[in-house]
Amino acid sequence: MEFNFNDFAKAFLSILFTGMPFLLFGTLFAGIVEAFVPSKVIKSSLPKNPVLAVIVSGFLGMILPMCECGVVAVLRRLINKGLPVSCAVTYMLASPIVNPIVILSTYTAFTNQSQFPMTGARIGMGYFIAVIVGLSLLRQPAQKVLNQSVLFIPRSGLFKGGFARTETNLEMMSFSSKLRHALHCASVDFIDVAAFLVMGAGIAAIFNTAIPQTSLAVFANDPFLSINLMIGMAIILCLCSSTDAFVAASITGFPNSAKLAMVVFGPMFDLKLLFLYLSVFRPFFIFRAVGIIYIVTLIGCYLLNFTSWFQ
Amino acid sequence: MRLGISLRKLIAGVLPLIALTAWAGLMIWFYFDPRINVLTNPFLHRWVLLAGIFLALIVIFRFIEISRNGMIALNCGEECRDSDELTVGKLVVFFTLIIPFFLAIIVTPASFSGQFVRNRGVELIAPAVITKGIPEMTADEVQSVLGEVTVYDTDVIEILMLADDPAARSALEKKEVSFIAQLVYPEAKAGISEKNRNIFYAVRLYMLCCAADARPVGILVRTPTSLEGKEMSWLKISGILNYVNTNGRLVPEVTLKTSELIPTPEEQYLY
Repeated sequence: MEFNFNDFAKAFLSILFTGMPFLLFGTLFAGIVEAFVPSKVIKSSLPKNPVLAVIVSGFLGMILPMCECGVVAVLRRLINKGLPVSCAVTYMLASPIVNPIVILSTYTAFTNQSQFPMTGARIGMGYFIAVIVGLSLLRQPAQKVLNQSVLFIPRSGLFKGGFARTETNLEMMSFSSKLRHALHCASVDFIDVAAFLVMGAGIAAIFNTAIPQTSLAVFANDPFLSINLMIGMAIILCLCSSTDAFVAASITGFPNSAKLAMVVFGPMFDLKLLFLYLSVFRPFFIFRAVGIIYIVTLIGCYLLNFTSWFQ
Repeated sequence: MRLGISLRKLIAGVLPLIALTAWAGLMIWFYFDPRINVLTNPFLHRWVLLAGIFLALIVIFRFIEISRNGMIALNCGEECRDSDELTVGKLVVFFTLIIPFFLAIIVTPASFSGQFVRNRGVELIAPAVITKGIPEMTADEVQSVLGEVTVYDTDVIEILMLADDPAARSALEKKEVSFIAQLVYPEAKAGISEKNRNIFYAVRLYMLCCAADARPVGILVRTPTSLEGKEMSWLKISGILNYVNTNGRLVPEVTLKTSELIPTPEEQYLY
């Protein structure tokens, strides 16, 4: 492992410049949701049955597609609006995979590499894991899952959210007041989450540039090791879910099951996301959720390795 | 004492605006500075610019609010009185947002180091994801072009792609080719071993999204004598092309005839 500051600076900046627009658009969207969408609309849009609500939430990315950077900001506001934490987390984990852009990019990237089974397995496994994590939260009180700052957003962060409006106040506001409120919320969220993105990008850039990836190729022939290795690569490389399939498809020598692990696990957890999650969740919940994501990805990809499509 | 408290509240309110202004400025500047915008795929440039403009608009909106409502717009008044205060946490967040970003922009070099390329591993076969540079000529057309020129001017990707095309490959093999690439040694030059003394990789970096996912593709070049060039410098390379069986795959190799240092091309990366 050899650290080069110049390489680090380039990788760090490139991750920031790639992530920032999506983070900002996510926070703008979150601001609009906060200011214009009444809680009752969000609550009534999902089934009353909590299990069914989680199952439906896994598909929300098809209507509201969000990448993994932007979705964290949206999640904060959706929870603030009264969306159950279990549903919000399911949406957060599924949306970077179960959305039309990612489905198309995965299908294109794996041309001539079992593209249909790979795309189907990615979506299916991503959805399944998100729902499992969501269901595991059904009996958890929000206080055990969320940070104090999310339980009361207006007090959080560097930029104080001065508009601690109640729903009644919100309904009485004029359009221009709502717009001001939306922009204010967007700026609050952006500052709050961007600081974590900077930290995550910094840590990711160190590993991204300093670890010799060539030395890892010796494990490519063992399915168990190669799946774990590609999960490790996903954590280090911090790729965007809309392009990670192209990177995975271009890595030679590894079985498709290992590439699948990379594109399933990566959008749900990596070094950059660890810091973004810390802005919302308690560390214990992150640890538990990552454990579930890892185990299901590992078992799923290992079993699929026995089929010809994924070898 | 009252003035001191007000000043702290003012700073606490203004810090986020400074951070947002700085970021808006950097994102807009990114679009116009080729040293920085080379860090992402061109399709993202407009998105970064758009994000910078949106951030700038948010800052303008906040300033208008402040000019209208004064401190109330900066701070949240009675609703969250304790969060108006300037705390160590807020200063840490502010400096986290500002310092690493600016520092990285100041020091970021034009190119990655040779060590970065070695860490990634040079791919000697055509990556499946690159569509740009796929030769459009048939084998006959390649042959007819070769009949007219003594040196076939090509690029790294085309040479790699031709390895999988038997007709075109046989037309080009043993012919002189020229292309541009970056110089990377198989090991750090300081402690290079005897077996690697007369070879180097002619490398191009291709990126999908941003420089952090850049992967090197290249051709092994054999030289009659040890080459003394600076790593990652741009070269115009001419040499005889061969396709060598390596682990069951035909991989191109070039025996160097001439190499010439050239300025950094406009397109540093392949997309």
